[in-house]
Amino acid sequence: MRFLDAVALAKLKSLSLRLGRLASESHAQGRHRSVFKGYSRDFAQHRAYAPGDEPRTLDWKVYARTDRFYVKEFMSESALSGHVLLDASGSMGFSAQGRTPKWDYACRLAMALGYLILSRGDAAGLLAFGAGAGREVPAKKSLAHLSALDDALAEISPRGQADLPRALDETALRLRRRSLIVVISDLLGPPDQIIAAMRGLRARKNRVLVLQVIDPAERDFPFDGPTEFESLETGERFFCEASVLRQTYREEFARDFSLYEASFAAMGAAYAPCPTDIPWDAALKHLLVSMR
Amino acid sequence: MIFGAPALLWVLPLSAVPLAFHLIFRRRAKRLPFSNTLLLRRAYSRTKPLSRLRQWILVLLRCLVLLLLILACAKPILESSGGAGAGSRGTDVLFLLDRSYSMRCRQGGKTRFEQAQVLAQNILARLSGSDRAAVEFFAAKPEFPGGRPAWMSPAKAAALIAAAKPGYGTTDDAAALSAAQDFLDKDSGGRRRATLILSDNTRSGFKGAPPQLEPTILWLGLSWPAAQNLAIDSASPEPGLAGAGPSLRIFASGFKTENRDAVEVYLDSQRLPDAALRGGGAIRQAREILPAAPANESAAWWGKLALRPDALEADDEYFYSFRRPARPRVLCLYGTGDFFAVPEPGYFLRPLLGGPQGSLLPFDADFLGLDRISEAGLSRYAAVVLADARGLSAQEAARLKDYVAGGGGLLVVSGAAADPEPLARLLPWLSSGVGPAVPAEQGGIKPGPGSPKGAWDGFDLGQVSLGSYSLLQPKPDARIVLQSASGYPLLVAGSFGKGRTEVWAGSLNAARSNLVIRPVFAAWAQTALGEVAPPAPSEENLSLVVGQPIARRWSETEAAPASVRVLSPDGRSATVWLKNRAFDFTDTDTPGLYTVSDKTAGQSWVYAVNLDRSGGESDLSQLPSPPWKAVPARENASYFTLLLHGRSARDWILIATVLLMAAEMLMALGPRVLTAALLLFVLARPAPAQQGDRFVWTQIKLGGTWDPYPEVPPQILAYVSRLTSILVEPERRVIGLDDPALFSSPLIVLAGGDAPPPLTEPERKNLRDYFDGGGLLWLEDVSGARTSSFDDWARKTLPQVLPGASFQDVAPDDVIYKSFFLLRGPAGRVMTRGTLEKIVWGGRTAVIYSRNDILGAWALDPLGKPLYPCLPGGEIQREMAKRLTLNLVMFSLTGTYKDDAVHQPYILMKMREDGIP
Repeated sequence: MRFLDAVALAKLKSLSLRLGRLASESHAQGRHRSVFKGYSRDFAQHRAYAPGDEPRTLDWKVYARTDRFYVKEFMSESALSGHVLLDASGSMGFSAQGRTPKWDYACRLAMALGYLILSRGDAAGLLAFGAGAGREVPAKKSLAHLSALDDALAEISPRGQADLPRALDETALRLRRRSLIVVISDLLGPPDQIIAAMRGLRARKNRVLVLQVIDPAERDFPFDGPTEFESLETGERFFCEASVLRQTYREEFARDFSLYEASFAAMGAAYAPCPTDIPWDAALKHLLVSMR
Repeated sequence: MIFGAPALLWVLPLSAVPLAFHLIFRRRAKRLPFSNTLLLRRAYSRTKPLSRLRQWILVLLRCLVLLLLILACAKPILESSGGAGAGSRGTDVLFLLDRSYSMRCRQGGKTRFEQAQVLAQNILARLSGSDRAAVEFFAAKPEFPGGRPAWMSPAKAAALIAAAKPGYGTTDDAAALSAAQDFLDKDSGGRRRATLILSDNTRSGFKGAPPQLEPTILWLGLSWPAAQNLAIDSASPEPGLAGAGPSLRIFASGFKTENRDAVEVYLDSQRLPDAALRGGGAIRQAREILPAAPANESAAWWGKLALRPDALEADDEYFYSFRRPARPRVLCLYGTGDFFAVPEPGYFLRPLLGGPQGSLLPFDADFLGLDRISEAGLSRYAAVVLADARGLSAQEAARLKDYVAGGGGLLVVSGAAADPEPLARLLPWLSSGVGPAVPAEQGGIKPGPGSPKGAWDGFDLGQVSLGSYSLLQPKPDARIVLQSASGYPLLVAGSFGKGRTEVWAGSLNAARSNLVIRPVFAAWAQTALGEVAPPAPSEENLSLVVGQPIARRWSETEAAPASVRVLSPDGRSATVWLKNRAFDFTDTDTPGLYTVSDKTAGQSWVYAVNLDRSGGESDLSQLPSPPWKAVPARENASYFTLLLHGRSARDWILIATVLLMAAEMLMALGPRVLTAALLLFVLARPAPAQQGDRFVWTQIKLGGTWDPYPEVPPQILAYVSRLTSILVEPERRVIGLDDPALFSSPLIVLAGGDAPPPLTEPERKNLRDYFDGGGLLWLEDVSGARTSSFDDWARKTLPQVLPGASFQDVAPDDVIYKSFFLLRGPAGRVMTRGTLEKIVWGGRTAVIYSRNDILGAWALDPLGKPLYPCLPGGEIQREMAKRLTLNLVMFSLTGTYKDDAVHQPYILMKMREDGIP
């Protein structure tokens, strides 16, 4: 696979995705123990028969011994549906100073998370949004589904402008509740709208993981001299004296970062900034550790 | 605003270079793909406007800096605002051009006059249309073009100045300034007035004190670099010896010249090796002997003397001309042929007046018989000597009378034995009547009241014996030149008509008188002939100065021509008509030789016209404090224009430029860099006094005996520096207890033999704070006595400063005794007390008190020997005292650091290395 090689798989062996109650609250049938009673081989309890209970649930052996009707209940098993929402806007194609492009970095993260989801027996799907994307891979449980995910990612190239809040809103409506939604984006949009969209996802009981993939140049703004910046999303140009703007830019970036951090923490979404100058697995580990 | 160098304004567009660069680089700004410009725009909107415009402000500042620099180079001038409407009404500039010959001084290939001309023309070219100009030439006296001062256009003034030529006159700055001031006072009209004195600013310009100049007028003058000059001052003729020509005595002056022994002299372009000017000082002189000429003929000498040309060539030439007229001729008439036989007068007169060697007197003589008097041509003779009147006819007497009346002279020798009859024809008009002969009395002769002074000096007239003489009866207007011992007149001189007569009462016959055989006869002959034929001047100097007219008057006896022709040195020739037998030729403005020719008589006279050197023009040294503002002549015209028109704005522009550059630097570097630089600057400054890493010996000035051994601290510091690695400050510090430096001193020393005054409360507090802060006080009682007032003071005062504290003995194992040297106990000049004392404050030793006068052990006499003996231990005790001193210093710096003995081996090793026992 293009974005998940043997080395990456070896690194992922030591990682696991722990989602707490999210998996047990799922109504899908899967391998996770559910809080609901259902059909499985694991006995749960006996309870007195109540009108309306299916007769087939009656434990006839208990009736024979006690001459009273008891219903036999079993533990239910649920499965999680995980969706990786990948920002495929033009800005994700940015890389500075020969570092890994954000898109590659994001794809590796997406594949890693897909693997982690699938390895739990859950279904993993992919939804790439952006001007040149709109590609969706439905969630499936099979590990063989990884190839489909990788192929899909290989076909996508980041370009154009992505409306992240809108994409999140649409996703929130379309996906089932109590899903695992992994948002991989640079979050370079209007923070308040993005946060509002995230809040919408959370409102539908989804577990939200946010991975903000940034290039260090986007954070540190190391540029100098008169520079004309060309937006990778819209193509518009902006001329400025980079050194003059640097300080304010950094302040703005830090402000957004703090805002995301505080807002996501408040809404219970896991959030991890992923600068491309640190290995993607380290960034992933940081996210997983923070979820514990 | 006007500009001194307006041509530089053409480069003003260069000030836009930063803007051009900015735009070019902006166009060539690097283009970078960036993820999203949303954050950039947000950041941009948040940046302060000043920061956003920073680049443009920087560009603007750089453009302004360049603009101002160019403006400053263009010499901007702020027009003066003084006077109502001064700027709009323009400036009146009067140019005073010095035409004296010192302006001919050549420097840098051009004469000062030419340089002044160029400068004036350049300045005039810069005057505006509203400005007016006037020109005044001056040398010895001021002179305005057109005869009267007048304002004119700058162009016309420039033409006048361009046409001017330097003259040969002297300078009178005072007269020129007075005339200029009078002119400027007439017509001010509220205009700005200025005078530019284009002079050479030499000392000779003012003969007296400079005049007071009108302060409302701007007076500008030139100053020039020093120039060496050597000038011939004069060349005066002197009579030569017999048979030789006259000589020229030449004087020259050197100004700012090296003290050379000899200067070459050229006579008519020929170098005269024998006439080198010599002299140790500024004045040099030489003598040049000219070719000889026959003494009995008129002769003339003229020519040119010259030196090697220097800065001022005009005064390196000197023209001379003088004439020596022929000696006056006298005619000696005699009656008979035996006149020349012994002992007749002719025998003695002829060798005297016309022998083979020529006349011994300044007269030439012809001898002629009376009977040939008609052939004589008496007018050619200055006088006639009638030595023998025998045979004088009435006709001859009448001829003599006419001759005398016309201006001739007649000496009549009456002779005591002479026949008075022929003389009777002359007596009516002679100066004296001639009576009968009488025997001469003894006693010789003596000078009469009319005798010329000094005529007989050196001669003994008393030895003259006349034998007999005629009794003379002088006429009222006659003078008695010689008289007998009894007072009878012997030689009587008088006048008749235009001429002169004289009568000698004695005889010139040697048989009757010994006069002719005595040396006094020559004096007699010279005096007697001098009365009737005054000798002509030895030399007639025909030298003039420029401007002085050549004048000559013909006497009545001379044949005057109708006109003469004057040939000037520049080749011009002019005919001058005589008026009243005289002529004046005034066109002598050029030095040189002027030849005046009388074609009719075939005569000519050469006049030498020289520079007027009396004014000191040859001295080119500058006037130290002229009454005007002296500006170096090398300055260009724009600078003068600046001075004429107003104030220079260049300094202000440069200040503004520097401020703008500082602002640009501030903006370009940013406040952080500048703050860092400022901090670096502040921190890089040296520490204010002590501290840092240097130990300063600090003494407390308290009481009258606070400094018993002033020479000791340097020794202690040298000792500390030599034996330890402590860096010491060579100068001690003396402070009071209220001095803030107290807190910069780890050790303070208070010594004394008498009790200091009680401490004031602030002093006590300061001292307590000092101890609280970790300081150490070394108290040293130098009295050497078991009881002393200092000791009482210390024991009373210290407990007041440190309440509850008390002195305690320093134990032998205290760190004080091993902080550097390992010592067994205290030491000092004396051993008054067997231990040191200390006060412990705050758990550490704050005061160390010694009563053994440790410092006294250090004291040396002027020869470097110990001043006081150390008792009772001698020199070992002294050494121990020194070591204890070092231990105390070390203790003050290290405290109990060496309380253990780990350093002991090292200390001992170092002591061995230093040779200390």
